[in-house]
Amino acid sequence: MVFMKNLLLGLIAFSIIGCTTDYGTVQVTYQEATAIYGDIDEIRSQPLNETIREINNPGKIYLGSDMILIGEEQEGIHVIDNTDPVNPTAVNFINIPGNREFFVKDNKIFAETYYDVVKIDVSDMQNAVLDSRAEFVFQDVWKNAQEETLIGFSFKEVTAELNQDDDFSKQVLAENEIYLDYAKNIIPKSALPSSFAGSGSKVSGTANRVTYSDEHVYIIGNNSMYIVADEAQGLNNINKISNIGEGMETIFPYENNLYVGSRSAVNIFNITDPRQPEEAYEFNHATACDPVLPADGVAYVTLRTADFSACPGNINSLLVLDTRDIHDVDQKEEIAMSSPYGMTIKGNELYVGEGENGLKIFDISDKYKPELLRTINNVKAYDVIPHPTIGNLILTTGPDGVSQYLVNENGESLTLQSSISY
Amino acid sequence: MDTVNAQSYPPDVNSQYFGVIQYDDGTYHDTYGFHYGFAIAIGLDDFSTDTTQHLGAAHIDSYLGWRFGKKVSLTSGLGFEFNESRIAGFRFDTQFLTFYLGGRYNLTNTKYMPFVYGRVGYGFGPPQEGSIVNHDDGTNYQAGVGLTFPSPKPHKYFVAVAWHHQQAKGTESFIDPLGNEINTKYDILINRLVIKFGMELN
Repeated sequence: MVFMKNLLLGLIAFSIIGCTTDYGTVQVTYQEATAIYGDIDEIRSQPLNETIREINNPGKIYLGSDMILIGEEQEGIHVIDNTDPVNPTAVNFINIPGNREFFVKDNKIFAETYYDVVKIDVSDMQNAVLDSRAEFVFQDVWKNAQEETLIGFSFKEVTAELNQDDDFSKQVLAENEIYLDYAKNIIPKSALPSSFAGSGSKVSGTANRVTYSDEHVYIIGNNSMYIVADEAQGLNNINKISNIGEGMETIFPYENNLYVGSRSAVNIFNITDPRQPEEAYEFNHATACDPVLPADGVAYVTLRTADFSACPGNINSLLVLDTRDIHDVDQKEEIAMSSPYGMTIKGNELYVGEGENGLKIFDISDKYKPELLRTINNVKAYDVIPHPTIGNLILTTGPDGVSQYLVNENGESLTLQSSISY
Repeated sequence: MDTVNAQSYPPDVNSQYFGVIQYDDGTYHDTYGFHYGFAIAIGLDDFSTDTTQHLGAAHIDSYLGWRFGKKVSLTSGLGFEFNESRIAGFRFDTQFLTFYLGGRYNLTNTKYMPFVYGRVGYGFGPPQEGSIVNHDDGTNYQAGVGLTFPSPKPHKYFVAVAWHHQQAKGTESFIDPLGNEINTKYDILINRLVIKFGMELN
């Protein structure tokens, strides 16, 4: 009997110790990245101006007083003459290989191109001129065995069935060397629609990864900030600040501060010394995709989540933050939304793009207590950009293109002026 | 000499001692009738110093039971169970509300009473909306060995080491270093070694 008990105990102990591995299968659908190599010097010497072409894979959008710039992901920027907003006309294509992010300041485009940042003068829309270039801002050059330079990745959706013995995640999740590249600056395609808009100084949308303040260009990567000085003799790569946050998505300057939106926080950096931003405050919120729009003593943050997206969950709201003391930011309001994306302020009104759910306009006479004035359902707006000189003209970006609308006098309806489809 | 009074008193002598094994230091074990208890369990992996590799497990449960004698008791219980899992390098979080039926067998009637136990349950997954994890319901079972400590008071403590199995089917998304989504559908059997601390009362 004693023997049987000991045997039983032994068997139990053996089974416990021997069986602690999880079993099962995982079906994984992912974007398989294949590195593309090329001659970086040859790329840098390519001509800047090319003939106009169709918009196939739109990215950033800028609305200036007389032009619209639409990024063509990885290729360059379409220049559209918008002198007559009823009849915008494509006039040029600026060839910027590898470009996704750009910012416009006084007819100068600051754009990333592979490892570099370039400054391009578009005073003459039909003849853009390279002003200067800062090389290797993001990363030292990465080369393959044939001494070719890594210039990007191509992607293909792949579905694989894995079992517990595969360690496949290391190939797609882990930060192995091939991924420690400039590519960390790529906007998650799934996080932002390709038509997500916004670049420019006073008329930008809220979804930027490049911005400009006090003669410095700021570019955020996933967890780093790159600073390039815009000096008289040209662009000068001056600083990289690593590990300042995770999952940073948007950057917006206001007065002496940079407002950086990540999926779980808004970080405010003081740039009194523009070369050395210092974090002044971190406001944490639920994990979501979150453009942030600062204004005078206030910041509006949209939190957007959706199942099966890069921002899973069910939080969709507009936060109102009191930023009068940037060292002690206080949440004043949280307003339920449907699917908020980018925002803009127009006088006493806050426009919030709700994507497929239209456009919401809030009265912000009391800036800490927005009151919903109306919802316009017949537009699809991911971002909203006001025209810098025509007071009642706005540009919205949607899944099928950009549209310009005149806001009627009482602000209750929008009249379509023109659309650029893609 | 542990079990001076290893025999319970005959019921016709003093019924309050029916279903009791009493020891000469005043401590005793109950061996008959209704009881209830609470327990918490944590994965032995949680004690690992390699925090990048360990898989967490945290369970709490309460139960009602009936002792049929010195050896056997049956219980039914309700538990909240959180388990991390790793398959093919992907880490998944699961959480279940579990109803279970179980039984315990005391191997000896010594003062420190060793036992084996097992239970079979059904875990209800989280609501689909508003949850950070997204998986279906699944069956689970647990088997282990433990030790009940005697006490002069009605409550008794026990400790056990158990092997916990949980079936889980669900989906989870990840972001790769290039910012692209990785969508997964998993169908797994979680095997977790847990250490359990509990208290039983009559």
